[in-house]
Amino acid sequence: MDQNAGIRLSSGVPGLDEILTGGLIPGRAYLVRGGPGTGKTIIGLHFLVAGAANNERTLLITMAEPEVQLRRSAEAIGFDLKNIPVLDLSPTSDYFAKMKTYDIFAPSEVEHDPITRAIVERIETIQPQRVFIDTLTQFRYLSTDAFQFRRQVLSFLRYLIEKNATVVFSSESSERDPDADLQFMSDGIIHLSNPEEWRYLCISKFRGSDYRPGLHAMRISKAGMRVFPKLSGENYRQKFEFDVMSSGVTGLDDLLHGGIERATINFLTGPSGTGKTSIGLQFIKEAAARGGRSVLYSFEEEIEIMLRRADSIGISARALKERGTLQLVKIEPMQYFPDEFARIVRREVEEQLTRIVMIDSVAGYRHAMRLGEEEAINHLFALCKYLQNMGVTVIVINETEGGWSENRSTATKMGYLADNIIFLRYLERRTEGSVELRKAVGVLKKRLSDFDKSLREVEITREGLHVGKPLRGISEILGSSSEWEPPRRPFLRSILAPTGE
Amino acid sequence: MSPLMAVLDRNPNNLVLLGQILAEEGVEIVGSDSLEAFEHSLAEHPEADLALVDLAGMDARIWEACDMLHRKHIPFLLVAPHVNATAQSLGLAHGARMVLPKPLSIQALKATLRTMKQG
Repeated sequence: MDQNAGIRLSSGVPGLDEILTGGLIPGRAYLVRGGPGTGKTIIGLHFLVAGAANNERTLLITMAEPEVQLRRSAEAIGFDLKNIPVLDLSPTSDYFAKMKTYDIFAPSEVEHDPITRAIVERIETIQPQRVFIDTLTQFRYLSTDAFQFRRQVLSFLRYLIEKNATVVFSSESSERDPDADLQFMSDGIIHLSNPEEWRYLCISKFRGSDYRPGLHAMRISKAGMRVFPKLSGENYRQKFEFDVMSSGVTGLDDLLHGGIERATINFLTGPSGTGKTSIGLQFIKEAAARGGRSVLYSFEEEIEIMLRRADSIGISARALKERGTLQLVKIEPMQYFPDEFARIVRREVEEQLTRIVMIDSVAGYRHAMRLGEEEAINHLFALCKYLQNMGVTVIVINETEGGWSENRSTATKMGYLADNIIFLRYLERRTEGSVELRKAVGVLKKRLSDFDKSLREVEITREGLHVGKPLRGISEILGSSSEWEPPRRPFLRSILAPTGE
Repeated sequence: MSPLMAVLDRNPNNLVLLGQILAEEGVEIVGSDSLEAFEHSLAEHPEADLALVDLAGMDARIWEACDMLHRKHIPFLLVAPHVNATAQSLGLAHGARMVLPKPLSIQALKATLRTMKQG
């Protein structure tokens, strides 16, 4: 029986152990590969520092970067290597300055034995439990051919593992020197990449364990590396009741047959200025009155503007903020990766027990995360599913540009994501000699209960939201145009087409 | 008594390595990094049993040195970065036992020297 069964070693990289379903399996050899500057050495340093912090014996074998430089680079990202011995096998400056080159024999014949002796000597002395080799590619130049290289590396890794070490080694792969052989020899592979301004990590092999697939965003800063595991909503579950949450506005609750249910995903969709955010704030206000905590993530408006808007419609968001039942967060463009943002939301939910999350808006989210439309929907889907599984009610603001056709398009694209869709639109109210611009609200979808199929006028004033009785006489709600001609009543016409007719 | 090998090579690092590797075979070397030093060394060590000459960086006078080794009945190897048919035939014509391309295989060199010592 494997004596290491069930035991995991922390990689030392925040977020990576979660992807590795607990960490590295001891007594195995793991390859970290990627282009220049992707963070291979940093992962190795995290691995050793984590071991040292746990009073494990460690060893860093450097084949290319001198020890002095390595320690300096480590210090720059907050790593203290003072308890980590380094075996420096990198070429000294003598090699160049004193012309220590030779050509009578191949380097593979001359250097191999001394390097091997140096490694064996150090291993026998220290008996390390964690070894990081940076980079194993250098061994290729000590081998006479590919066959010898493979045998030497396999033998070397076996030697280390038989000495009870867990090994992480890096490789420098290029077109001229691909590292497919090292990939085959390793027990696990961590790929690092940095296309354009993003950084990613993915696992393609992990013998003896499951792992979270896909590309995971990562950041390298003065605190080292941090990985943001791709959020999979189905990995999270909490038990809860599907309580109905009233909006506190009678007409709106009538439309929704009581309100929205807990842990549902609610889309508020409509053109700019129709009151989507105000309705969202209304639900938050009511939840706060019942003691529930909410967080509003604004991707467009500044916090002060949001607070003033809330003040103007009779919602004392400032008071809620001070009481801790409302948190307003402005997210700047390109501030976070999507999974990094998801981690922030997760902390709110898991540590602060937040019960409502509002995202204002879909377009703002997409712009801030620099995502294409489909990517944005996929990320939002994962985030909303996580929130739903954790019993959190989600309010998503979706701005449409035109009339009803836009709302229908939203319903089509996001329909599978939303449990409830509340739509808002403009109306033209014609009276004798004048035309007024009015707003209306309706429900397009409600997954867990029936709903009122009518359209109602909505007014947003200093006293708050007011939703009136069903509008009668409107000939179409779902068509591209709608006219209302109530008997002996002012004539209302809806603005559905972009021209407003 | 250990066999003595006279070595001519412009790269002093090659001389150091050869000295280390051949010491494992019980062969002592006397190294020279120029033709003049090599001729002087042969005059000082007429008892030299073997010789190795690296053609890299040498001019046409090297063939006179090869002729001298041949006249003194000192078996010698020639090594060069590239060995083509011309270099091969020139080397053999001037008395070399073998003309070998660099880099040498350590094991092959040791085996060759054993054969030369016996021959």
